[in-house]
Amino acid sequence: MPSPEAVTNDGGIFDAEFLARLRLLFVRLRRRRRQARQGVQESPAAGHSREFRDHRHYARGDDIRTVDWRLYGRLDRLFVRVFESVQEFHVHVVVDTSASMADPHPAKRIAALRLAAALAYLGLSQQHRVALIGVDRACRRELPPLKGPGHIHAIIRRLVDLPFAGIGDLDAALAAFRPDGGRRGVVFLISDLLGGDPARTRELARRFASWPGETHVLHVLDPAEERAPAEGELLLVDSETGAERRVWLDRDAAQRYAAQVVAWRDGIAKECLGRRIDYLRWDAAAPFDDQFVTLLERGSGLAGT
Amino acid sequence: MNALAPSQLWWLLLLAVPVVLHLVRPRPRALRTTTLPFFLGLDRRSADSPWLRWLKRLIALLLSVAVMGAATAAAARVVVGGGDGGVRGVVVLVDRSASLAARGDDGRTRFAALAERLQARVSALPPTVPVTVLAYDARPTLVLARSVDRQAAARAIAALAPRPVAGDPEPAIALARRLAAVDAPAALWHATDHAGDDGGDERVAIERVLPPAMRARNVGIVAADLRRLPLERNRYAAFVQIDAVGQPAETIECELDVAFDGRVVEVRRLSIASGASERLQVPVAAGDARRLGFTLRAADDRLVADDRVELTVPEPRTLRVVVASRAADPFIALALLACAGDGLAVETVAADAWPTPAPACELLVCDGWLPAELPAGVPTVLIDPPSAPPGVALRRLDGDGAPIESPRVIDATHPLLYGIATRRVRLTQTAAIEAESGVEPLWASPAGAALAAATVAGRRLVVMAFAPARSEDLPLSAAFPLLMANAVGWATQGDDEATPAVWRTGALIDADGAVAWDDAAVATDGETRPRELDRVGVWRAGAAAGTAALLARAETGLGDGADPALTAVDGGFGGELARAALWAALALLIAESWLFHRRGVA
Repeated sequence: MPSPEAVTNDGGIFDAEFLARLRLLFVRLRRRRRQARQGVQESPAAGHSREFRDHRHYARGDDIRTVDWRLYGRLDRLFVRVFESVQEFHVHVVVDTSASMADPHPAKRIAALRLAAALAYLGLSQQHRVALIGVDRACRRELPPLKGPGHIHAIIRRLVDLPFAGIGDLDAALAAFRPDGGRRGVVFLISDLLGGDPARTRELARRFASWPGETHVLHVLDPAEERAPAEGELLLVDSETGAERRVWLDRDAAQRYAAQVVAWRDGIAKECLGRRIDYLRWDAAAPFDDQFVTLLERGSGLAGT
Repeated sequence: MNALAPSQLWWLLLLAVPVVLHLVRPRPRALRTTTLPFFLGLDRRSADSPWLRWLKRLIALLLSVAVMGAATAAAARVVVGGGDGGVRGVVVLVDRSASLAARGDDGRTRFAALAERLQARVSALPPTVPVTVLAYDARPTLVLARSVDRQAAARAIAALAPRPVAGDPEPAIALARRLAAVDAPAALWHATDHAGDDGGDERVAIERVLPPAMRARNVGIVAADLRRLPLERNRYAAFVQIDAVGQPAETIECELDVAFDGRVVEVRRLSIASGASERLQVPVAAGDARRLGFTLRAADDRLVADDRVELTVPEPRTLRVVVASRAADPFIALALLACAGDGLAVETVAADAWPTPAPACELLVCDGWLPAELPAGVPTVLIDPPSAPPGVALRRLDGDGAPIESPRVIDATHPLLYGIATRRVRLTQTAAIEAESGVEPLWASPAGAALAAATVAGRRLVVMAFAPARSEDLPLSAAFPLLMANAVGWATQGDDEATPAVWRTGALIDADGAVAWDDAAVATDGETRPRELDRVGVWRAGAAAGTAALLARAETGLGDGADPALTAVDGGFGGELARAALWAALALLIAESWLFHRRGVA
């Protein structure tokens, strides 16, 4: 476990206090997990490990090293030993790096980075392979799957370097995202789900459902986004495209705006629920710890619950 | 357009504020957002097109400017002309004669409609234009002298009411023109129900203000008189003329009640064509009644002031006649005796015993004798006068006179000759009457006039230049008593005409107290001055008494001036705009709030 103070900092995002809290969280989580169950995650699939599981007849192509020669000596038939397969658990941390995640609400970026770092830290600490993927209009593997707590430095450095400047198009970007199909894993999508037509955002749930393993949608929103910014005449500038629009907001329009946002958000949650996808609205302005514990308590392979 | 408080117009400079704000309007606050698509999903009002936004801003600017302009106009008390034509003064001449009391189908009088129209026009005048209000019927009355107080003018007009008096517009217009000339160029509004042209000029423009058109239907008594029957004393005939006004070819049915002292003694049913007249005659004796009343009744009659007339019937009188002669002529006595039934009291006095002073009498008959001095003011009948009476040139004929047969008639229509067959008259002329001023010869012969009627120094004289007793058969024929009766009647005619049977309303009488009517008690003020008879009915004022009636054809005709196109009061637009400007500012503020701020954040 590296020292938190050694982690690269960026404007207080990953300050010592945050990392200390993160380590504390991890300790608590590990203690609870020990009480619940022991060992690494098991898989019903056969594989290579030190734990013997069964014999089976030799088949052509089997590894000659797995032949039980003693049994061959007694029975004069070839049997191979089958061991418990211990697969690596893959954690895909997908971070939306479009400009809307940082402008004009930088709290969303901070929340996304902290959340990604915490999830990566948690995965690395549990000997999972942690991959960091950035999406805007395209899908980029920011870091290859890393294993071992020592890689947290690299992950944080990479997180800090994420640009948060592109135009978001989650539908196109996630179309190129292919989690490893043969291995267990969990996908954490950290995004505001903004970009493009809001009416089509709910269709993303179908894509989430096509992924193997668990999928957690962490919908990062700033409270300021859920209410009209001001009344009167405004020149609204899209933070991603730079498009401008003059609007005259009054009380009625503000109320309808807020209702639209809430309906959009609830629609996504409902769609995810229908497809057994975990959805959590992440308040960028709320305390991190409480929301993170809530995330883990909702049940996750990463949390071991 | 003028401003009563022009200093307040400086507020108009504030109009530059919204204009400048509009021209240098700051850009709207730019705001970066991540949820622009949600804003685009709002309605058009929140995210409308640029040209619509420009139009809204322009409307908002115009509304703001209008609000400030209206407020400034209210503060500056802007006034606009309301049909005054740039005049410096207005004289309102209001006809309040009887015909304006006619009521229309809605029950309102024409005067009420006319007054309402006048009030609207007056209130629309610029406040700086003084208004004078004159009312007239028989004579003009100044109601409001040159005032810019519109409320006072409105009150003055509202206080007027039509009176049952015939209108006489000429002196009123003349007075109004003189008053209007004070503020020349001025306007004279003649509010009346009679059409016509009053002849304005450059200094005084005269305009007739007419009431709304009304369906005319009226019957009224336009003339009434009580006349003594010829040759009869204390017997009269009441003449009444009734006019009818209605729709063309309409016949109006009406009833005329004849009443003696308020007691109906006769009802006459009349059918009078529209525009025609009906004349009636009702005999009455002096002793029958003191008041002879006529009351008209007709369905849907518009005017009631002309439906009633009361005539005063003179009380029966006895005429005291003194006959003075040297030798009594029985023919003369017989002729006067024939007139005794009409209230004649004859007293015979011998010429030799003629007293001084002369005996009191109402008629003096001198037969063949002439006193040295005729009694002052007493009508006199001179028969065969020995000398010329004062004011009459007389020439005695020589001898016993000249016989005359069928004297030539100079004026057959004279009352003295009423009923006399002159062609059968034979007489002996004893003198010749010279034709002079004031002497009217009636019978003439080659020698000169034998019969003449004269009015000398206010006294009536009948001069008969013949002796009845010496004439052929004149005293025995019916001509002589008729001539004597006619002479008595004509000579004393002035006594009966001293007091009219009926006064026309609007007439002035000298009385030492207020005029009291038979249906109202009025206290006297002890001051003798002209009093106006302004009502129809029986009146008394001090020692005087009589009756009053409208008796005016022009009023019964309900006037011929009406504006058929006028269905409502045309107040016009004008006057001070302070109140209107304030209302306009308030309305504009409400409109602006409703258009742009009705959904605003509270």
